[in-house]
Amino acid sequence: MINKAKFIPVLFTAAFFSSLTGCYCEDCGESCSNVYDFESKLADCQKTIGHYKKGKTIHYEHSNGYDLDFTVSKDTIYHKRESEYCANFDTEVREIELTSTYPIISIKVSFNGGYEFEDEDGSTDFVSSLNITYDATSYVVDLNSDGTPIEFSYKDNLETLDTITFNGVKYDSVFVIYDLLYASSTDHADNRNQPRLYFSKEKGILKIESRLGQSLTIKENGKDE
Amino acid sequence: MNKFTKPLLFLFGGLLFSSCNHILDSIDDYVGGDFGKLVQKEQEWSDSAKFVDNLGIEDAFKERMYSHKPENMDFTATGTINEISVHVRIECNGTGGNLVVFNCKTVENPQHMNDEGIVFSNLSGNKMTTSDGYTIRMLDSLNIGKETFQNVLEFDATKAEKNECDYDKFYISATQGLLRIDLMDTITIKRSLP
Repeated sequence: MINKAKFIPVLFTAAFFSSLTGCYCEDCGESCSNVYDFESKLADCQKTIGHYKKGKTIHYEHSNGYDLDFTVSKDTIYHKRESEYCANFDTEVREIELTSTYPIISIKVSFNGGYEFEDEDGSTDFVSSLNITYDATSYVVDLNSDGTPIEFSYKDNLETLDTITFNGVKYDSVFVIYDLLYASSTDHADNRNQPRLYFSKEKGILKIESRLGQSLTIKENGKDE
Repeated sequence: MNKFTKPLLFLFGGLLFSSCNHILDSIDDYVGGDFGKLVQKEQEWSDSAKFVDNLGIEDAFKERMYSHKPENMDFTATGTINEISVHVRIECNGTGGNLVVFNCKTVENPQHMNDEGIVFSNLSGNKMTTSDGYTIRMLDSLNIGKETFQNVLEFDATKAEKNECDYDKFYISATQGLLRIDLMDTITIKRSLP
C-alpha cells in the first residue's frame, strides 16, 4: 500500500531535481539515492466490466445509418513497465479491442491497474483507470475500487444518469463521460457540448461519439448477447 | 615539375575521383522498369477524396503524395470511416530500387508496433511477385466510371500464401493517388468522380 502523504513529497522532490538537472531517473539512475518500486494490479471489477469476452458480438448502429456487428477480437492482460522520477512502475493492463468486419472500425478499451492509497485520516482509496479510444477520440476516466467512474477533481467531465433508452432498450446507472482531455473551458454548458461516451458497468459502451462527428449506438434485439 | 607539384596533382586527382564517384553514384540510382513512371513527376500534395463502395457506403480518404525524381515516392491514404490505410514507398538505388507496401505485416506486441512492410526489391519490368505471393503490376491505364487514369500501380494480395493486409487489391495513380480498393472478395471501394 502506498502512503500518499509520504509518496507525493518524494515525487515532487524527484521531479524538482530532475527539472534542475534536465534528466530523469532512467537517464541518470545513479543520482537517485532511493528508487521506489510500485506495482499495480487490475481490480476484479476491471476484469468483468462490460462482460467483454473474446468472440462476443455486440450490435451497434452507426450515425450514418447502417448497423454493424462488433466482435471482441482481442482481450489480453500484460504488464507495462516504466521508470520515472526515481520510481519504477509495473502496471497490470487489460486491453480489449472491438472490431467490425466492414466497414472496418475498431474501439480500443484499456484498463490500467490501480494503486491503493492511504489517506491522512487512515482510510484507503483505490484508483485505477479506464481509457476508451474510437475514431481519434479518447475517453479517460479514473475508477474506484468497484469500477465506478470518478470525476476529475479539476474537470467537469462526468455525469450519472439513472436511466437512458437506446434503440428501445432502457439502461440503468449510466455514466456519461465527456471528452474534456484537452478542453480548457471551465464553462459547464461548453463542456456539455463536447463529444461523450455513455457507459454502464453491466453493458460497457452504450454510445460513443467522436470529435470527427461520428457515433456508434448499441442496438440490442432483445436476444441474449 | 618541382617536388610539391606531384603530391598536389595526386591530391587533386584523388579529390576529383572521389567526388566524381559520388556524382556517378547518384546518377546511377534509379527506379527500374515501368515502376519508374511512379516517380517521374515532381509533386507534393495532400487532399481528401470521396469514395463509395458497391454497398453505397461513402467514405473520405485523406491522401498525401510526395514524389521527387529520382529520389523516391511516398504515398499514404487513410479512410475516415474505414480504418484502412494504404502506404506505399519507393526508394531508388543502383539496382532498380525498392517498393515497400506498409500496414500489412505489422507485428504487434503490447509495448510497440513494428511494421516490416512487403518489400519488392530490384524493381524491373512491369510485374513483380514476392516469394510469399504478393504481386505489384504497372497498368497503362485504369477506368473508374467514365474517366481513364494513366500509369497505375496495382497491388494484389489475392495469391499471397497468407494475406496479412486489410484488403485484397488496391490501385494508385502516379499523379491522382488512390483510385480503388478491393476487399473481402466482394467489396469494391472506388473513387467518386464529379
